[in-house]
Amino acid sequence: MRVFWAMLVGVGLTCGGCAEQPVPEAAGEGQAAAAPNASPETAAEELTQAPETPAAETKSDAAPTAETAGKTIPLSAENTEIQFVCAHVGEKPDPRKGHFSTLTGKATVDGDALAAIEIEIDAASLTTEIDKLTDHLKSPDFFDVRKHPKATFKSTSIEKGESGQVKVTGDLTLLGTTKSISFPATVDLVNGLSLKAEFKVDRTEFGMNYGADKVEKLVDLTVTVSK
Amino acid sequence: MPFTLADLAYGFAAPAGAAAVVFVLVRRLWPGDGLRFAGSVALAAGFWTGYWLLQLGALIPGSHWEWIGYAALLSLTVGPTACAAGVSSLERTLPYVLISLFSAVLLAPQWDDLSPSPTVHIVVWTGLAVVVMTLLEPLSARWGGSFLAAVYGVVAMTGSAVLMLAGSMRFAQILGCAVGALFGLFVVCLLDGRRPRLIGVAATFTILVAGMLLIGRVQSFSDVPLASYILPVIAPATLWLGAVRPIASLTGWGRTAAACFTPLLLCVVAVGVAVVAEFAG
Repeated sequence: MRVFWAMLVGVGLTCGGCAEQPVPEAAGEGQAAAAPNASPETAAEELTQAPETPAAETKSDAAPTAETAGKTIPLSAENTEIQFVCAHVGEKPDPRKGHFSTLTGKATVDGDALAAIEIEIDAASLTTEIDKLTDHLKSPDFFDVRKHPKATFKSTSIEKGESGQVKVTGDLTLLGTTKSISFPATVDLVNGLSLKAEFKVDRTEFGMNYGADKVEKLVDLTVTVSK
Repeated sequence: MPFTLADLAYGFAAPAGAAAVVFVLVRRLWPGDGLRFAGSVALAAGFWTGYWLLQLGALIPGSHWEWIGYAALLSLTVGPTACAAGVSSLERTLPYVLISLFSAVLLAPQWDDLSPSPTVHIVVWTGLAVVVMTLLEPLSARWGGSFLAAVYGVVAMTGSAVLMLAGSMRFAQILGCAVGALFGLFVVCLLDGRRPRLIGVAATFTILVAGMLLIGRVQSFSDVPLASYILPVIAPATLWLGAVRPIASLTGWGRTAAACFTPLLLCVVAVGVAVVAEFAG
């Protein structure tokens, strides 16, 4: 019995030093989680797919108006929509659409060009067309909103192209993992800022890897900023 | 999101096989005292087999729910030990309190906005786990191993269904690994002519089932009510009704069926209430 109690005390002392301590993301973990079966060229291509730009949207050759030039434009759910679409693996993809209803941020215009963009998303504000799907996406299976209540994007460079096209590069932080992404966008700075970007993100690169054999890894993102 | 063949193989068949093999090996290689450890070690081994094969969580816990496997391992130091000869009821309860309290601290999240508070969750869960463990362990002397494994398996399956309805397939699969392990124990106990008993399993079983339901409850955004999380935990303890007349006066399959009725009823109610909460209205 003494041995029994000694073991018990030993277990208690050992365990008493333990506490729930979040383990910091290993430096190489997020970086190593590249999209499987995808060459770097393919991945870059997926992240920078440029949608065909209808003629009606090509307005940005015109100079930004005085109210837009050299200005910081606040972003919120009132003028910004971030929508995602993800499909199931297999013969019945059954794509599911959702969006985030709470976000804040700002876009900075320098001269006649969009200079920077920052967005902070309330992950728990995600909404889909199906309540149970919304609950599932908020769970640790996907967005784990209790542990990671915020997702952020902060641009590091915005390269101006022709006809209102820009290439935005920046750091996307999702599930506590930060990775640099690039995507094309169409920008119009006449009488305010409008922006539209469509691109794909590999969710598994950010540690959202549950059900990779059931739900596609690539998620379609559409960011729309309206005047 | 249906389960694939890989899910069933890794998440059910593999845990079942691992639990069965470990159970047989421990009993064969460590006769005597090893009989107290075989069931719990096999259950933990089967659970970890599925958890690892399906990569259901990080091996180094980064979230509160990733401690569930380690809490189950720690229970191995208590459950079988508390069943040793010469251990009084008080001496058996104190280690149950210790392991339950420690598991609760690991498994309950420390969110500021958790309601009720983390402390309340820890205290209530500890109390519930201690009561259930204390009631379950003596049942191993009254019921055969295959029967007990079957009841535990149904309870774990109920918990898994509740977790799925509550909005997490991952948590449902994690508890599903325990279902597989218990199925393996059921088969091996059924086939063993010596009719082995599941001694020392109560602590590990309770921590796995009650632990995952605690995790599922705090993480859920669904309308699944509290009753659905609690009823499966207390269901197996109602097997004690089998020791009360008139059930105790029955014999054979009649007694078995009568004793099973209440636990199964509670499991059905747990799932039914969850289904109604999620799909009705």
